[in-house]
Amino acid sequence: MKIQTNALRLITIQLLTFALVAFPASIRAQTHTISGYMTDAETGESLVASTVFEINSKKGAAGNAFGFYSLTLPPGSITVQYSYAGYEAQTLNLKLSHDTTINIRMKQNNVLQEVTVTANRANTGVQSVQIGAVEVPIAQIKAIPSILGENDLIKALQLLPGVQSGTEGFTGFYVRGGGPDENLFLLDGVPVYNINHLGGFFSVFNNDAIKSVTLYKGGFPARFGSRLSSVLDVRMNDGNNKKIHGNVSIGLISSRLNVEGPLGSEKTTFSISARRTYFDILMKPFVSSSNNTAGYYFYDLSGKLSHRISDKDRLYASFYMGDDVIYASSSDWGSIEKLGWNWGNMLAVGRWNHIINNKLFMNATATYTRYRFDMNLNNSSGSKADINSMSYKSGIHDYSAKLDFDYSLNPDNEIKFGADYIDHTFRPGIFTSNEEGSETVIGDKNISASELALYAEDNINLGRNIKANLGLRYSTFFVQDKYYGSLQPRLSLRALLADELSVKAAYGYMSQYIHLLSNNTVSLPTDLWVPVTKRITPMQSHQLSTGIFYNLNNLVDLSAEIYYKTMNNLIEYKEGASFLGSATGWEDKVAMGRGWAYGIELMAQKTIGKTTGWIGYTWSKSDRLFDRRGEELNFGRTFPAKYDRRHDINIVATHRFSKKIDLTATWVFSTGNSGTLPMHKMEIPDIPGSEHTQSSIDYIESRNNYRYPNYHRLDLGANFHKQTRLGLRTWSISIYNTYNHMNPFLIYPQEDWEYIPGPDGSSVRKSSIHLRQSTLFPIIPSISYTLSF
Amino acid sequence: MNKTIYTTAIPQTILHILPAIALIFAVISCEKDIEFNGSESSPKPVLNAFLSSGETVGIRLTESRFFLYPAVDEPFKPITDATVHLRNEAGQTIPLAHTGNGYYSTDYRPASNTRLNILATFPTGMADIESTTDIPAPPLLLPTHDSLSILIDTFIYNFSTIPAQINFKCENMNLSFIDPVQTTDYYRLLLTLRRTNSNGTITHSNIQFGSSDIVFGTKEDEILEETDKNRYKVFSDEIINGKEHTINLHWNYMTLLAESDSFGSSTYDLIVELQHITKDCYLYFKSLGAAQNPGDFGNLISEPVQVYTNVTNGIGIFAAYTSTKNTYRIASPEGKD
Repeated sequence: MKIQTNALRLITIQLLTFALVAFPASIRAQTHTISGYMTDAETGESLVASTVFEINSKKGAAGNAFGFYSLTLPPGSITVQYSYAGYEAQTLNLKLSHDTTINIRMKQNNVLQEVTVTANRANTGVQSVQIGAVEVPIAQIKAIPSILGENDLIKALQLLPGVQSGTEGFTGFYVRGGGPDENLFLLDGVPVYNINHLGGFFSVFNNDAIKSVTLYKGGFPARFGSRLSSVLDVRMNDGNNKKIHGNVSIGLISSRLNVEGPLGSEKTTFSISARRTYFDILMKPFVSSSNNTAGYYFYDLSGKLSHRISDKDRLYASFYMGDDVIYASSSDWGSIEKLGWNWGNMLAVGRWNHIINNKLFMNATATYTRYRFDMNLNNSSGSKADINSMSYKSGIHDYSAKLDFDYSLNPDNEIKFGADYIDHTFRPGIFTSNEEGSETVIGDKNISASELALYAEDNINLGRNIKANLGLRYSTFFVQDKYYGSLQPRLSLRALLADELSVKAAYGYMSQYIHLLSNNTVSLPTDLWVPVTKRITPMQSHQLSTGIFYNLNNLVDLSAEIYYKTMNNLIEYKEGASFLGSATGWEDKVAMGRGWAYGIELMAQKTIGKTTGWIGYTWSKSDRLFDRRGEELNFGRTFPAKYDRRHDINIVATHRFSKKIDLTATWVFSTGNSGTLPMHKMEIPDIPGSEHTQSSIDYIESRNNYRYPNYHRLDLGANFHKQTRLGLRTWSISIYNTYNHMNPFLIYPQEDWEYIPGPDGSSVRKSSIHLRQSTLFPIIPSISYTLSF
Repeated sequence: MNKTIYTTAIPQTILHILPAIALIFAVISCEKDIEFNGSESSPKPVLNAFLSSGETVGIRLTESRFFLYPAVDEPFKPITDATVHLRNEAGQTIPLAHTGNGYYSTDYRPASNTRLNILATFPTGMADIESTTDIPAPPLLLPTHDSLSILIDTFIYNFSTIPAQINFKCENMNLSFIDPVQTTDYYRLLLTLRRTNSNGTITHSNIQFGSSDIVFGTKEDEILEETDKNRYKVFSDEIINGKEHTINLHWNYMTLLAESDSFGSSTYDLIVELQHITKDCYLYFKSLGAAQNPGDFGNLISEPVQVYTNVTNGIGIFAAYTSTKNTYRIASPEGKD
């Protein structure tokens, strides 16, 4: 306790220092502030990261995640332009003589988002300070063809430069050479710990419930932290406040439903989405009988309520629940055996938005998030006294409270600051056996940890063309009487060379206090989150990036970015180690080391006209070095990271032929993944005490020493729309891997035997070894039906 | 209701079925043979040698083979025409003579705390190989006083060929040793049951033992222990450097009474052997053990293991150890003759 008290005292002192440094005093001439919300005129949805821009002074501001904007200007005649991707820009002329509230309702250009304005995108456009971030319109994500017709947000983002997918068909997410646990997935601001359904074939994000998606790969603003490599900020729909609206979709393996609308008045809205697969129903005739039944399904259920109390206060409540379920039961001679596995996430968020004054916006959030894996096995012979059972439970849950402020200090300083406290509880895996009334519990105790972060960032105009985002984040972590603290500076700079051309640079220091114990090949539900310990210290990264951004005729956004990232205290399995869900002794099974990654990312994104999409190219390299005493991997020499690939090319193109038909094609090419192959076999000597009988063993000179064949595939999709009396119905037909290229999933040597006639007429066994390649996904056609009402 | 709380590892058999999810995909996937994308690796010389203080030096040289080489049933090709020399710190060069089938030896017996360098050259065009090792000092293994308590069970089968079974069981055995200060030391521990039959023949059997001692790092895993075929454990002094340390062991060994034998006619001795091994030897045993016990579903879930080598331009191990042994007579089992 004394240690904690001293640590808290230390934090308090540091925070005071931090606050003094973070808020520069600024004395300015008299100014007035225009503020308000920007919403969709048809649905009332708030518009995330919209833009407001005063044309004469060329001062602008970005709306926040809740559609609120605030722009402080000198008094006088002004011309203000409001813009947002996919919406018609609105221009207002007014004489600014006092603080003014203007709520803007933006009109979409058309419902299919044929036309968007890209140059003024608040978060990621040419004029923004942000580098290393990408926004992808939800409409584009929905149009991308996918396996079994199941559009998936994560798989769409895997098509972006700098993002690698890992294993084909899975939702693995490797950003700029980072690991799978170095990504912060936020759903309405709440971390989602396991984004996978069905071992990673599908993600938990239901596109019908999503309003916006922004991926940060670098240049992280100070408001984000706790992961090294990326932040995926997903925002859910608030709900249409004009009329009930929704859609129903029926696919080969799942169906989805989304309904949203006003509750009583425009002040209150709701949005509910649900999705369920029906593998279990389709497979029932094949796996079930009168005595036995078995199945698998997953579902998602999400909802959001929003209520406008007044012009200054809004309340939001949102939740998400999703589970994967495996069940089986069999009965025989009065004995019944039941098996049940459940794993999934649950999130709940309560949020209060309050406009303190025209310059100061507050967002107070309370959240709960948990991921859990439960397995139960029961055996009974009919009577209650004769029940034997086993169960295994693991997971993590967090309670969190967060305060964020947006403060428009003056025309040249937009400040964000806030604090975030998370109470973590790690459940590392408890096995319980109940046999004939005797209960046995095996496993480690729950581990509690506290994480506190404070941040401040300032968007500063430094002259007419130079803009900077200066930020500082201070985070602390308490676990098992151990205190870690980290001061993380962030800096982004933008120099506007012309209205449509800018260069940007950024530096960011990140620190991460939790690890995922997982193998890198597939995502298993037993993958465990564990906190740092006295031995396993926090991961850290430094990232430098720079880039040039150009908007071509307001049609195409062109960008070229270069990054260099170093990572320290990374963990990897020691050779031969695997976890399979047991956290016991995990510190002994991992090695700590460092890594570095660098690369070039080129992107051309077009979101205007009948043809939209992007072309992305990445050249990258990612290495690891584990050379600490007793923790050497690859004999303490540098080796390529698991998904180190030199070239990635992604082309996504959607063409709208008419209001009735649009086609999408996706072509993906990448250098093959690297794998480890033993190039030699060697003799092993007789060793006293060893009862191994084999005389040879594989010799591996270097980790990840073999490059798999190149990966490429073409996916095609077509959507056929028709307005019916029930609503807009869409038939979607897609073909995954259209030219049926056998892409490698796994390559391994396989030994075959055959008997051939010997010289004396007897048969002689002859062996041969081949290199064998497994492919997961050949050509896969699919179809789905959607009705929007 | 009884409630017991243990903190040992979770019986992993419960969770072993989980990777079946991954395996399902592998099973249902499309498979085909592909060409190896690269050039075939030339054979490398493989040197295997474990030197010991006071013992004559013997090594073996063979050729490695490319992993897709089809003749996996064939023994590795011995290198019979190499020129092999040892060189000690005094500058003395000792030639090793080929004694057949790739074995080379000399009568030279290195003493403890000697550094030896080996150089082998080949007329066939393979690069010269070289390695160095130190002969360690004997470890300071202390006598196992009166803590040794071995339970003996006998089971009479009355089969003509297997008349009986004898179980030796020790649930609590303490072994103490003193680790030298200021040096990083590595050890290998073996338990051997020596049986002297009535006709004078002697057999040695290595005993598999378990331990949760901190020197072995990872907590004891009962499942792995069952499948591990190594009847030894290696460890370093990282945690106990310069201290006297006591390792607690448990073991259970079963043997069969031979047809021609009877209870009381054979004598049994337990030999506790602590080897002071070189770091190279330690790394080799650790990596070899991990490679031979790849765990769940082979290397599909876990990373493949690189077997350690300290041979420049070649593969294999050139290492050394020095043993200290304590021998304990076990009471003769009693049974019905």
